[in-house]
Parts: sequence; C-alpha cells; structure tokens
Amino acid sequence: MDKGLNKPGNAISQQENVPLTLSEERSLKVRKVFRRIPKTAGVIILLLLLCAIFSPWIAPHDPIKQSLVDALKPPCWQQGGSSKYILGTDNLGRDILSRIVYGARVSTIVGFAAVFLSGLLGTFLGIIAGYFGGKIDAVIMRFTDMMLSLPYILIAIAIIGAIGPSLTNLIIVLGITQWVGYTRIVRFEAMSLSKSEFIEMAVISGCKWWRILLVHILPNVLNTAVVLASLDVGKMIIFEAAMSFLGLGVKPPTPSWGGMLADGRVYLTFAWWIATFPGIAICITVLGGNLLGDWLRDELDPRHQLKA
Amino acid sequence: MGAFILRRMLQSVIVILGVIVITFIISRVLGDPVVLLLPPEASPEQRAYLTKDLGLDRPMYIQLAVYVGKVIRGDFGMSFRHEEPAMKLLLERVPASLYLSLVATFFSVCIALPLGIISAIKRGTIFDRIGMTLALLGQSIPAFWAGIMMILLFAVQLGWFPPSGYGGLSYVFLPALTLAFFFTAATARLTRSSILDVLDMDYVRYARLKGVPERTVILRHVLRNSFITILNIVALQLGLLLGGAVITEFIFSWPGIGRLSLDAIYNRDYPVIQATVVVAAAFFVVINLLVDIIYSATDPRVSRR
Repeated sequence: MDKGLNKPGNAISQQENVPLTLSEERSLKVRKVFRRIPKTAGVIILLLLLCAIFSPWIAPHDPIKQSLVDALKPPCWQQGGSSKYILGTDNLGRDILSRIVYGARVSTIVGFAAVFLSGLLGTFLGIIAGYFGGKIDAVIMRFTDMMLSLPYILIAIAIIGAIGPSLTNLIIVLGITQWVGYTRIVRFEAMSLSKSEFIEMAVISGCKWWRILLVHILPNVLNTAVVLASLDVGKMIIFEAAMSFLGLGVKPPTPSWGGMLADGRVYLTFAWWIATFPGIAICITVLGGNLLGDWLRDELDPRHQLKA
Repeated sequence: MGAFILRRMLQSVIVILGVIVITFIISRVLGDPVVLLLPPEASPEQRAYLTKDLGLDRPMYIQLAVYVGKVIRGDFGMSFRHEEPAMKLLLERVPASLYLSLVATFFSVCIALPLGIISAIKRGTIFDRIGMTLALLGQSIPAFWAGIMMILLFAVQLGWFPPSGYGGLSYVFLPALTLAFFFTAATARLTRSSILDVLDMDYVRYARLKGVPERTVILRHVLRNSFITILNIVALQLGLLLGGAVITEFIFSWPGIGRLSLDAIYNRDYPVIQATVVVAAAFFVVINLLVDIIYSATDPRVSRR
C-alpha cells in the first residue's frame, strides 16, 4: 500500500506552479493517477478482469458440467481429493475452481453496471438539486430521505421477487436503490459551484441551463462521483452475492459466487470447501475494489488530502 | 432550536407518508391481489365480488387515501398467508428482533469504538495501521459469508455454539456477531475520521499549548466533543440493522422480522411486506429525528444550519 505517498509535496508543488487551467490540471492528475495505482489493488482487479474475460481458457473444466461420480470431492490437498479438481467439487460434481473463474463474470458485470447506473442517476439528480435549489431541491432531498429510510435489501428482494430473477433485473434493482449517496454529496458540491463566478458568467452570457449543468457543473463534480463509485463497486459485488445467495440473482446453473455459497451452506457439515472458496473469492475482489477506492479518494478528493 | 426541531419533525412526517405511498405503488405495480387470493378456477362473479370487497373497483386516489388512513392507524390488513392481521404477525416477531439487534449493537460498539478511537489518537503508529487494516478487511468480507464460516468453525468443528435456532445467549452469539459484522468496520472508520476532525480543532491545540496533560486533552476535549458525532454514526448504522437482519435471520433460522419479511416476499404476502417496510422506515426516521434533537440540544450550531 503506497497511499499517503509524498502527499504534502504534491500539494506544495501544485501551488508553486503557474496556475493551470482546469482541464490541464485534470489531465495531469489522471496521468499521475495511473502511474501510482496501488499494486495490490491493481493486481486483484487485473486478475478479476482476466478471469471474467478469458474464463473459458483459464478454467480447467466446464463450470456447469455435472458428474455425479465426482460429487463432493474435497480439495486436492485433503485425503480423497484428486489433482483433477484442485479446489474440489460441489454436490453435483462440478469443479469449484472453474465455477469461481466463471463466477467472476457475473460479479464484474453486476458490480460495474450497477455502480454505473446508480452513479449516473444519483449524480444527475444531485446536480439538478444543487443547481436549481428551492422547491426542486426540497422535493429531491425529501425523496432521498425516503430512499435512505427504506430498508433497501427488502425493497430489492420484493421487486426481484415480483419481476423475476435475472442478471438485468438485478442490475436495475441495485441501480435504483443505491443512488442516494451520490445525490447527497454531488448536490452539496453543485450548490457551492452554482454560486461561483464562472457559473454566473455563463448565466449572464445567456447559457442555457442544461448546458450549464452538463458542461460547467458536471465535469467539476465528476471527481467526487468517481471516488464514490469506486468505493461502491465492492458493496455492489457483496450485494449481488447476497441476492444470489437468497436465490434472487442470476438463475442457476450460471455460476455466481453468491449462488455457490447458497449451495455450500446446505452441505456445510460435511463439505466445507463448497462455501469457503467462493467466499474467499468475494473477499479478495472486494478488498481490491476497496483499496482502489480508498486510494482514489486520497488522490482525487482535496478535502481528504488535507486531512490525511 | 424549537423551530429547528419542528421543521425536522415535519420533514420526518413527510418522509414517512412518502414511504407509505411508495409501498402502495409498489404493491399495485407488483400484482393484482385478486389473482393471488383466489384459486385459478374461481368464477368471474367471485372475482368481481372480491374486487368490490377489497375496494379495488374504486378510483386509485380513493384507494390510496383509504390505505394511508388505515396504515396510520397501524392497520395493514389481513395477511394473505396466515389468517391474522399483518401488524399482529409483525409485533409477535419484535422481541426476537430486538434481542438480536441489541446484542449485535453491543458487539459492534464494543469492537468499533475502541478500534476507531485508538486508531485516531495513535494516528500513524502501528496501532492505527493494525486497526485500519482490520477495518478494511472487515469491510471486504461479506457478513453473511462470515456468518457461514462462523457456523462452520464454532458450531460444526468446535461445537461451542448451536448452528441455528432461537434461545439464550449461546443461541444469539453467532447471529449477533454476524449482524454486527454488517456495520462494525464502517463504524470504526467513521469514528476514527470524526475524532481526527476534532483533533485538528484550535481548542485542542490550545489545550495542548496550555500544557494540559495529553490524557486530559483526549478525555475532556476530544472524546467529549466527538461523542455526539459518534452517537450519530452508531444511530445511522442502526437503520441498517433490518437489512442485515434479513440475511442473518435466514442463515441462522432466527424468528425475527427479517425472516418474516423474507417469507412474506417468497409467499407474495403483500400486507406483511408493506407492514415490515413501513415499520422499518418509520423506525429509521424516528431514530434519525431523535439523534438530530439530541444533536441540536447539545450543539447549538446544528439548529442554525
């Protein structure tokens, strides 16, 4: 972990430089960001993407091929295990390792798509509330209060229970229940931005409201939204696993980590490996996401930079 | 301060009313109760009779008004599944849920607060690093998986605790730890950052300059001033309890509200779903309101915002 690396130095050198335009400053930051992605997080996320994209080549077996002769084989280092199935097999004789590799697909797709959807929705509402203020702001804020007070797991389960479990439905439900965080923080930033001089200038020069929102306010709140989004990816992956665990995620036999946990829970007393390994996969992935998110926050969010 | 509290109360009422309307919309969007209640072979006359009986033939806004009026009096209608009022079913589950939540909150506070406080006070030292690494790991482990692993280790392998069921302390231990898992890490991190905020304050620097012993600075100036923020954090986490309880109670077969709502969703028992959602939301809103009132009573700056 090399967060916190020469942070004070950064702040000073930027102050001493000739003032940069906003876009120049941003591209400079982006370049720096890519050069210093923490190694642990980078490796984990790369591994996840590799597994998701190239699963047929990485997985040693077909993840949905059942073989009852080989059912409930323990991992290879335990007595009774074979090197054919490194992490053992489940109750239907499917290879755990292959299912974990393929399961990365569901987690990646749901994690990123749901974060994108909720981030888009939340940021959009946030800049509208912050820029217009007044009644529009009050309505949107009361609405976020309502969303915040609703037990979102119950709402998500209820909606999925009614419209049926599928990958798309899961992404939509996660997207529409998780946007509140973005709205609250983006609204705050948009509010202070809307009082700044360059926005006033834009208004005076006859700029349309939608242009102000998209061209002047949105780019300036994007940093914050991206930080929140990166911290949310892990949460979404856990949420997806929880929904699949309750039988409300992707339909079997498509391998998903949460679904594997549900299978493993039934056989917990005599086959510990079924529930253990997919859980470890979730933990490592979410850890990677959280590390990346923490570091991005330290990099991009000036308020945290001052505090750290 | 009075005006502030009044405004917050009004907001809370609006939020709860909004939640009631949302549950109405959701249940109407999700399906026709007549289809659910009657067997497929029912005649059109029977369907028409039930539609009229349930008031579904009336205009939507009247249905909504009737619904809101009933819900405010705590009447969610009869459960589709059990021949009992939904509210009564819910109230029967309250003791089990309360029991689990209180023990879970106790665990969470006992782990998160010392972790956050020590990490903040000893910022940059090995304690801080260990504490924050633990919190990061805790945030990365799905609580329900942690629950399963605890069953595997403590119930199946070691046999210290029963794997599931409802009962005394030995029964509540694992579910409460699992439920605590949902928010302990976040609480620890938030506690740390809120104390760091206070440590940066001028009055803390001044107290140190004045030569007040570090111990006294921490106890009298730092902890005292961050106490309310920490209380706020813990209260906000309480609102997440029910969400976590759904899965925790499922894993441990705990007979609480979470389990009730999950069963209701599987059975499409809308009155029960509506009751749990509205009650949970109201609980969350009331806790937030209370925290804000305590906040404004102890810190006059709040109500001026």
